[in-house]
Amino acid sequence: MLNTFIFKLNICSYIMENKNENQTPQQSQYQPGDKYEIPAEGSLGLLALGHIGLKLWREKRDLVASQKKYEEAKKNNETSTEENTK
Amino acid sequence: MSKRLVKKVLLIGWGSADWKVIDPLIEDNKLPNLQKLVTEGTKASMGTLDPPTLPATWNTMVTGKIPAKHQTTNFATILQEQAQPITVSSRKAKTLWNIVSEQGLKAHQVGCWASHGETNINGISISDLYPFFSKDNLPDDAIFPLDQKDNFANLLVAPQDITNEQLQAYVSQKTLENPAHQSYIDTIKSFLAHSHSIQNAAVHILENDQDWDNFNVFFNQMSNLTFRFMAFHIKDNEDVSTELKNAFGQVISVAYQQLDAFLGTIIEKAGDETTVFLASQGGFLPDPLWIKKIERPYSTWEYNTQGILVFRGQNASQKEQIFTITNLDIPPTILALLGLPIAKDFDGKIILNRKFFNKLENVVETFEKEGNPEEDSFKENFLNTNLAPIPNEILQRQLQDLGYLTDDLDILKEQQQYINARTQIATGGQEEVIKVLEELWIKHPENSWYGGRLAGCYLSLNRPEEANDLLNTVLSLGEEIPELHLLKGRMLITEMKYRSAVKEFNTVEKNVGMMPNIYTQLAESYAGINQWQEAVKQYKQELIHNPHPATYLGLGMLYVQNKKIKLSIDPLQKAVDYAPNHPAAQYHLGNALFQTGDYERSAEALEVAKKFMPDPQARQRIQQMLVSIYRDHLKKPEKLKEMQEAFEKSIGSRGTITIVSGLPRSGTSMMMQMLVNGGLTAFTDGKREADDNNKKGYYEHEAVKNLAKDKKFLRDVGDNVVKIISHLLHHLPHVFHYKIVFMDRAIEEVMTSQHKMLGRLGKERGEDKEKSMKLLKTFEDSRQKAIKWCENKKRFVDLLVVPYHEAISNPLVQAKRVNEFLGGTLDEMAMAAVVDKSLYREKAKDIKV
Repeated sequence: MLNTFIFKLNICSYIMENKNENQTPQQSQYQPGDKYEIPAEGSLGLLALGHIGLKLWREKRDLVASQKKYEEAKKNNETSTEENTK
Repeated sequence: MSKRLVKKVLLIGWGSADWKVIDPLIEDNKLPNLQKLVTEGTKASMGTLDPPTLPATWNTMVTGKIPAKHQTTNFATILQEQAQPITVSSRKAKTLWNIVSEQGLKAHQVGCWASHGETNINGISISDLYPFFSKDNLPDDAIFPLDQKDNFANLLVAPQDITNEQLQAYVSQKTLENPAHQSYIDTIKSFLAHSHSIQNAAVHILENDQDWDNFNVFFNQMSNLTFRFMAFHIKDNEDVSTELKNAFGQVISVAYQQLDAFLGTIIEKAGDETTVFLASQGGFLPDPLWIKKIERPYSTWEYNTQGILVFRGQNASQKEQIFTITNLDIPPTILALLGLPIAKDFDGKIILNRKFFNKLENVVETFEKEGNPEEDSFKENFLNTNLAPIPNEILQRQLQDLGYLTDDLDILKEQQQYINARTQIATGGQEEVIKVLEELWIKHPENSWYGGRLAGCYLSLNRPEEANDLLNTVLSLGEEIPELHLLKGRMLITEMKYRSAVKEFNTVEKNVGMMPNIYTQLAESYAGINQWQEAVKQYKQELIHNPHPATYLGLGMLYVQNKKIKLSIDPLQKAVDYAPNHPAAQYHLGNALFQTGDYERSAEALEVAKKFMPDPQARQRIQQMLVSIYRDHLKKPEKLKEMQEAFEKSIGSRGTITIVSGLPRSGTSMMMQMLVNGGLTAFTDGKREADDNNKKGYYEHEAVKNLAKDKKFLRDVGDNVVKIISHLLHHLPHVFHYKIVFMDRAIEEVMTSQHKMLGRLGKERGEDKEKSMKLLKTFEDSRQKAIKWCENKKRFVDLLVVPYHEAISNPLVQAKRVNEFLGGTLDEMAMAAVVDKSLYREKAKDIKV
């Protein structure tokens, strides 16, 4: 699953999260080996990684979109099966 | 090839980045990667040249040439009556990556202004217009080499790709939902999309190629964001509404955090061994007064503000701050680090410590091949008219946040005329631009800038009445432009109308804000009318906003001039804290401390001043002060001994120089010719050619005439022989050893020959033989003084006197003497063969005085 990204970089151990509880942006420090949850909505920090981050985000976004599509289709399918059964 | 000092050089550009904004963010630990860079490297404020438009300043930074040479000064170009973005066709000088590539190394560039259509690069070029296109409409000219196009097309991020989640780092959800704020939100989206596309391309190249020598990447869109949002970043700015400040007050800080995160990735990918330059083309002051001025109608990038520079690598001093750097200095510095040649027609300098470049031998005339365009592949760049037309929408998006109008072609043309005029003014072309500025001013009598620049031109062309009348008209427009009031005040001083001048200065003071150098100019003006306390106040104001060693030195010297020696010590100390190698600051500090009796600190400062002082006479004065301190005050005989030993050690330490000397017209050129025929090479620039007075040439070098002031050329003489006229000999420094062949001719002969030569040249003294002969005693004194000086300096001077008439009558005997004196390696027969008795025209026995 494309949910996490393992940090390998040393210097870019700071990654900007979108916001903290006070709704202000902040940077969190990650160490090599730390896991980072890839948000489907993307994050600025992820994009700072350049094309690597872009690729991960796009894959996660597509994955979530296709999951959503699959679930909607499944739901529609179930609804129509129920209706047919009725 | 010069020694290569570093493996790789990375140049990162942040549009309009300014220390006044960045420093507080670093203090808040918001920019960890930049903080690390600053701590490990050298920090500087970077000066800009006029005109400070974004294309001009960035292209100055990547070409090392003044705007008048690279000619990429305007935001847009007009092709077939249509506004177009500037491209490589607009640039008339080679960039850093063009030069690096031509020298056989590998360079990449991503996003530099006017890089659309680049082909002259041994690496990858991503155009500055790249982020404005999408995957489906990316033109071929945006990417070089073309076979890479698909890779980079896939890395583009469009503004519509930016999610609310990402935007929430910049603004609140409430702001995002407010329809009135959409135009601001669009600018943030555009910044994010643009910057991410650039970052993606840069990281992609770095990941796939480890084998580059020079990498350049530019985040231009930070300028657009800065122009749009800086007013909201300033907490106490009363010129904008609280609502907007609350909504967008975070944008600038978050954008810098974003760039800092980019920086971390790029540095990491570039590798530890890479030397890093982070720079901005110019700054953007977080100052409401300044912002109001640039937002004023008709303001066309009038102000030069300092950009940033951080330099980290093995040749940078940690935690050092350096001054007097301009955009021009970047290319020569990077080329020198890579061991590549430096061109004489670069307008900048190498900014590294001189110790790395003392023996910089690899210097070429130019990298441009103007005489031979067919030999120069680069010419294809700016003769390239085959670039595909760029949709007008791209230009709009590129410039819309910068306040630069592109819809109206007439206005665009006028702005270009004005910016071109400023480019010429910067190189002394006032006369050429007067007509253009007059036309612009007649057409737009409401535009203070057009009138102000025109008044400045009148003044520099010595037309004070026209300047004064025009300046009065411009000032009556009431725009309160501080520079123009300052100019008016200074003109009033020349008319001795001091009270009126002070009124003008008061207006200046109210309108300066953080603008650099204006308070200093005010201080100098007040000092000029003996209002020294007011001058001190102005210097202090300048220091609050722009601390600079030159300003501290100015303040210190003001105190010294007003005999406030104790007060001078603090600013002079600050000046040397900022610029420890500044000889004048150290000298004045040493002098002030000496006068207040602090001899220990005085000696410390004077020792540094002595080390870096280029002027030998000043160095001698410092030496005398140090002797007095160590002998009479500190009672340190060991220091005196040390100084004596250092002096002894330095005598002749830089090698031996062969000199031909004597009075003018005493046969020095003949002796030079003898030595050249005998096997030596003359140190000459060939500027003074043979004529009737010296039928076989003069063998002179222009630099010699300036020996009293500038001795640097002596280092270049090497094994050659140099002609130095006798009255300059006493300026020779003791650090070389000299072998001097002194041509001695009867003074009457010298005078008669001189008189005839001047006559042949049609000069005044040639008509008056008596006048020439009156100088006989002066010449005799000069001759004796020169010979005596040589005899007194036996520790570093070997002297051989050659009587002229002997050289003429017995050339072989004299050739033998000279050869023995110079080590016996010359061809004596060839030397003697030079002598032409027919040229011995003024014999002493025939001269009646």
